[in-house]
Amino acid sequence: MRLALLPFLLLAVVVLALSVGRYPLAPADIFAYLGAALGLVALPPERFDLLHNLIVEIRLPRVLAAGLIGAALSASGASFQAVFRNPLVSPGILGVLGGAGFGAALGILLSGDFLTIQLSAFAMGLVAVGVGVIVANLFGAASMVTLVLGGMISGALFTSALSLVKYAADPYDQLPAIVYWMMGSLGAVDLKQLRGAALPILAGVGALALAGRALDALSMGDDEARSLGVPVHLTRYGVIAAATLVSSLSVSLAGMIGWVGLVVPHVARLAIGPTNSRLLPASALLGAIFLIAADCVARNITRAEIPIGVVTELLGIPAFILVLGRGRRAWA
Amino acid sequence: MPSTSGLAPVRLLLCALLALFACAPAHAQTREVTDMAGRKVAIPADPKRIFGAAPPVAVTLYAIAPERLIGINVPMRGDEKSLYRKEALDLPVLGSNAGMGRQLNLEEIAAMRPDLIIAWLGFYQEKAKVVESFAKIGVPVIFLKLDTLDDYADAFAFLGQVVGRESKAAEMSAYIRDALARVREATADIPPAERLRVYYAESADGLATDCDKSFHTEPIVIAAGDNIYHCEQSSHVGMDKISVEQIVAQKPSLILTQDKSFPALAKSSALWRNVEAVKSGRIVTVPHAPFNWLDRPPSYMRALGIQWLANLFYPSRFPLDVKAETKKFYRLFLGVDISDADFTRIME
Repeated sequence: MRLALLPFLLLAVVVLALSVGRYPLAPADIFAYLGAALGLVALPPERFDLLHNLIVEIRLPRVLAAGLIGAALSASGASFQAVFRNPLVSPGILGVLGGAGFGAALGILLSGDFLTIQLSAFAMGLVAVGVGVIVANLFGAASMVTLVLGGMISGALFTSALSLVKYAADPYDQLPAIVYWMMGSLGAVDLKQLRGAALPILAGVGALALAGRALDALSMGDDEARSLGVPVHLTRYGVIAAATLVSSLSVSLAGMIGWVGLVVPHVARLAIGPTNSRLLPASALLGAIFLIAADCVARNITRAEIPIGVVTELLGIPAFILVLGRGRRAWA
Repeated sequence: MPSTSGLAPVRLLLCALLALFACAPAHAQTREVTDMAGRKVAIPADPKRIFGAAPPVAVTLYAIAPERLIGINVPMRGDEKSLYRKEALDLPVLGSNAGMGRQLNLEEIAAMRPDLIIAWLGFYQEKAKVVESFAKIGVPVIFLKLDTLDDYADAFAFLGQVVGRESKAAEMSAYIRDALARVREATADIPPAERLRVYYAESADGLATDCDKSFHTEPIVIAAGDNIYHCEQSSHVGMDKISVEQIVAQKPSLILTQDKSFPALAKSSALWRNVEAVKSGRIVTVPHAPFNWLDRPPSYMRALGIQWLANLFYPSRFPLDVKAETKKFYRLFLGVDISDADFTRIME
C-alpha cells in the first residue's frame, strides 16, 4: 500500500524544491507566478519574466534532472542487485562509472567543450560495460561471477586510465576541471539538455520497472525461471543493458553521484519488501525523492554549493547503517 | 710487529684522493644569498643549470634566464609554439613538486645535473620538506615568494642577482611596479558601490568561480572590479561551485571567462539569459597564450592583465593602447616580437 504514497511524496518534494534557492524569493512570489501563469493575477511583464526564468528555466530543469537521475541510479542499483543476487551491488558494478569518469576527463583534456565532455562520458560508460561483458565472455560461457569479475577488471582498467589522464592534464586548469566535474553537479542542466536525456532515461527506468516480474522468477534460479517461461539470458542482458544506459546517461548529465544506487534500494526493500515487481518502481520513486532532497541541501546550505556527490554520501551512510541494523531479514 | 711502511703507498693514494675531493668544490665558486624565505644559502656564483620546481617559478625564470632552464614542469600547448622562446622549445618535461599532476622524479632531476633549484614558497607545502627532499641530491635550493603581483617585482630583482642580470631584472621589476601604480592610481577613488560588478567564470559550465579574497582573482581586485563572489578562499585549488540563481541575484555587469567554449553556452542556454552581463553581451574570454594573463598558473602576466582589465572595466579612466602595450610586454618578458595577427589571435 505504501507504494501508492510515494508519488504524492515525490510531488511534495518537487514543490518544495521549486520554492527554495539562493535567489531570495518569497512563497508569495511562487504563488504570484503560478497565478500569473494561469492568467488569474496580473504581474508586471519584467517581474513575470524573472520569475519564469528562475522557477521554470533554472530550478525546474535541476529538480527534474535530480528526479530522473535519482530514479535512474536507484532503479539500476535495485535491478543489478536482483540480477547478481547480491545486496552489495551498486550501478558501478560493471565498470560504467569508471568508464564515464574516464570519458569526461578525456573530453576535458582534448576539447573542454561542455557538450563534448558529456557525450564522451556517456559513450565511455557504455564502452566500459562492453569491455566488462567481453572479458566475462572470453573464457567460455559467462556466469554471474565472471560478469562481476569482468566488470571489476573493466572498472579498474578505466579508473587507471583516468589516473593517467589526470597525470597528463595541466595541473593549473584541466586538473581542477576534472576534479570539479567528478564531484558531480546538477547546476548546469538546462531544459534543452534535459529534453535530450529525459526520454531515454524514462524509457530505461520504465523498462526496468516492468522487468520486476521476470527478475522475481530469476531469483528462484535459472531452471525454475525457464520452466515458468521466462527467457533467462534475454532478461539478464536486457536488464544489464537498460541499467547501464540509464546510469551512463545520469553520469554524463551530473557527474559522479555515489551511494544513491546502493542505499535507496535497501531503504525501499525495508519499506515494501523484497518482491522485485514492487521493489523496482518503489526504488525509482524513492531515488527521485532522495536526490531532489539531497540537491536542495547541496544548493541551499552554503554560499558555495556542496558537491551533490558529497551530500548523498553523507546522507546515505547513516541511512545505510540504519537499514543494516533493522533490515537483514528483508534481504531476498 | 709489521712495518707501517708497507701501507705508505695506500696512505699516499688516500691523501691524494682526499685532496682531490677537497679541491673539487673550489672549482665552482660559491657565494651566499638570502632568499625570499629569509634563508641564507650558498649557491654557485654563476648558476648555469637551474630547475624551477613549480610552474610559477619556472615561468618567472623563463622570462629572465630561459637558456639556463634544464626543463619545464608541464608540456607546452602545441598550438602556441610560435609564441614560445626558441631556447625553451625542446626542454624536457620534468614535472613539479606542486602537489598535483606530474610529480618530479628526484633521480631524473639529479641526472640532469642542475647546479641550483628554485622552489615556490607556497602556503600549501612545508619549506623544510622541500629543502630536505632536494638535500638528498645535494643541490642548493632557494625560495621565491610569489603570492601577490607586488611579490613578482621583488622576485625579479632577486632573480636578477642570482643569475647576474641585474639591469634586465630591474627593467622587469620597474615595469611591474609601474603597471601596479598606474592602475591603482587611476582606480583608487572609485567608491565601492560604483565598482564594476564582475563574475569570474571558470570551467566549461561556467559555474566554478573563486572568491574575491582568493589569490586566484587578485587581478580583478587590483583593477578595481567588484568580484561578486565575496568570501575567503577555502582551498588552494579553488573553483567553488555556484548556482546560476546566485549569479542572477548578484547582477554582474561583466563576465570574465577562462573557458573559450563558455560564451556560446551562456548565449544559447535559458539558464543564463537573465544574467545582467549575458543580456548585455559582455562576456570576455581571458587571453592565455602562451601563458594565462590572469591565473592558472598565476604569473607576472598579471602585470599586463591588470592593465587590460582596468581598461576593460573603466575605459575612460584608464585609456590604454592594448595592442601596443601587449607588444611591449611580450618583448620585455617573453622575448618575442608579436605581429598584429598574433595579437588578434591572442585576444580571440
